[in-house]
Amino acid sequence: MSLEGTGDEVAGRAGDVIGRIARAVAVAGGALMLATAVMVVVSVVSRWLFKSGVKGDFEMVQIATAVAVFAFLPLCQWRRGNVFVDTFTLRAPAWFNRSLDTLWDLVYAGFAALIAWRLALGAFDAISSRTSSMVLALPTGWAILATAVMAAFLAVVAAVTAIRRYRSAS
Amino acid sequence: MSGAIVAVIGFAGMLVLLALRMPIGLAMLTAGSIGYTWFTSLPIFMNYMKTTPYHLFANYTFSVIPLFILMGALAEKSGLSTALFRAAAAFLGHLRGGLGMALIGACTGFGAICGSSVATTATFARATLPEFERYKYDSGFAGGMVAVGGTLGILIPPSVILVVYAITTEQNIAKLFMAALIPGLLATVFYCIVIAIMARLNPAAAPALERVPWPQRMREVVGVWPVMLIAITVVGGIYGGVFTPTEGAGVGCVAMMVVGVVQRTLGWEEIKASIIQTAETSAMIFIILLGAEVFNAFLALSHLPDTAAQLVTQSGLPPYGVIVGLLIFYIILGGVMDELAMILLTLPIFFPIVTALDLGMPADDIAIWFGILVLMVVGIGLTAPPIGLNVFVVSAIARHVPIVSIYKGVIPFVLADVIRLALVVAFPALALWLVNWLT
Repeated sequence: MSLEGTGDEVAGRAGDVIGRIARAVAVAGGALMLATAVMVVVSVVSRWLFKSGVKGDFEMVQIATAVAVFAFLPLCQWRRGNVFVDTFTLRAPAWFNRSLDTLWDLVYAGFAALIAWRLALGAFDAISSRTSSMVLALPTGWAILATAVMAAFLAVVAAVTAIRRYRSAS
Repeated sequence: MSGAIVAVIGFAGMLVLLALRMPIGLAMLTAGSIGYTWFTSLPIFMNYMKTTPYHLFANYTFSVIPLFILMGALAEKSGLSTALFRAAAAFLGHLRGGLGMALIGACTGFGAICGSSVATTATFARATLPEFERYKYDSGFAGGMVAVGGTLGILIPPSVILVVYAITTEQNIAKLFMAALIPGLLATVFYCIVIAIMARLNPAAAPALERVPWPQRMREVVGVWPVMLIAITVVGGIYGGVFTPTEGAGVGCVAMMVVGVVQRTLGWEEIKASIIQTAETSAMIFIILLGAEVFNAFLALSHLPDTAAQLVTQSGLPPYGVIVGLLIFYIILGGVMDELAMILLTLPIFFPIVTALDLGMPADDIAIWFGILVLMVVGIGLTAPPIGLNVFVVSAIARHVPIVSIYKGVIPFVLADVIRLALVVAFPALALWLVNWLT
């Protein structure tokens, strides 16, 4: 029994670490969005004063949005923020609903892993072909690689939430 | 098998997954991926996934969603709802039902900063329900007013629902924001009229407060005018074409931060909490957007949207009958489903139908007008029984108030909403006049 207890504790502690990372990643994504907002303000003001905005402001906003969104996804899964319909399963037994939720967490983990894998390949393609943005010639591949890494982390988070769910069901 | 049948099977399969508690974005992603692979092949699907998840989100228009959510979250954490409510109550509190009207007025002001109805409902439930209790308002009536006032978060531009509509149907966000203004302000007026009537029918449910002297009224206003100035600058700047919606939202975020820090209502903790809230809400929306993207790619391959549009236009159904039918369908569907997912799922099929109808208006006007109608039915779906998300939000915060009594409080407002919807259906100019005047 005590062994099991420590096992749970270790899993719990590992889980907490993952939750903390998810939070930190999301805050970093939010900070990126705030920085984007500041850049946009500078662009608007400079357009007003000097008739020309910040060079490449559109593509900076685009890249920042993609990276920030992927940074937000793990926290949302960790805190169970994804909306679902519970109207039709309100009367179902608790074990049934919890098993379903565990299953969907695993499906989500699978999709996140697939997306991470495909995005990583897309990133390597873009890096080797030196694909870059139109105005500032920013290397797009590295931004895609960053989203791939966060998608991989999302897969880990979804798998951990599935395990937690399964444990609470048993 | 014909494409349309495969699409219907895909749709049905997705609805089954939804009923089995699968998160909405994931259900669309799953059904869409299988359908896409069915029409093409696994290597083509794998290739599609190589670029789509990145390029979908690396989108200038999409950036407006997290920025508007952040602007609203900063307003919320800075305690704007309380300040607005106190200012409005200083002016209106002495009327019969005046505290309720103050709530509606404050929600209108807050709606000009915040684009989400759930956020508006939650912040006003926390800020105002204790006040209503203190002044002996009927708890169900008060809860109903907060749930309905929360819809002003989306009815008054900016509105996340309109941004999503604009993205899905490739319409101009600024025009949709213009079109939403008059119907949104109409909602404010209608809600106040309902409160006045209810307060006269049952004076004990909505007692009047003592009149507040002018010097104190002015003091309350001083605290909120900077934020209201931001709201007017952001929305006005977007209307006037001074900046894009993304730039407007960016300006709004930075201005909210500056005002909050200067007024000492935003500290590091509040800013961090705003960011966390923005992350979670945005992620929830974006995962649905990703699912909808894949699902709609599948639908497009099946040609179901074209087929359906052809069927309806050739059926000889009266065009206005089709519109009314769709709106009733939305109100019913909104009763059991998340509103955002509802419009993302249905618009790819309904939008081609609607714009192909012969309503004696240019297709562009129909597209804008229909967007406002969709926004209004979403508002109704958020409050009307059996499943009104805003009512759930209120009852989660006011735990001692039975949910049935909140629904009772909501019903007169829902009737007013239906009348307002009928007005905008009958007179599209209510939505289109401002657009045509400003552009």
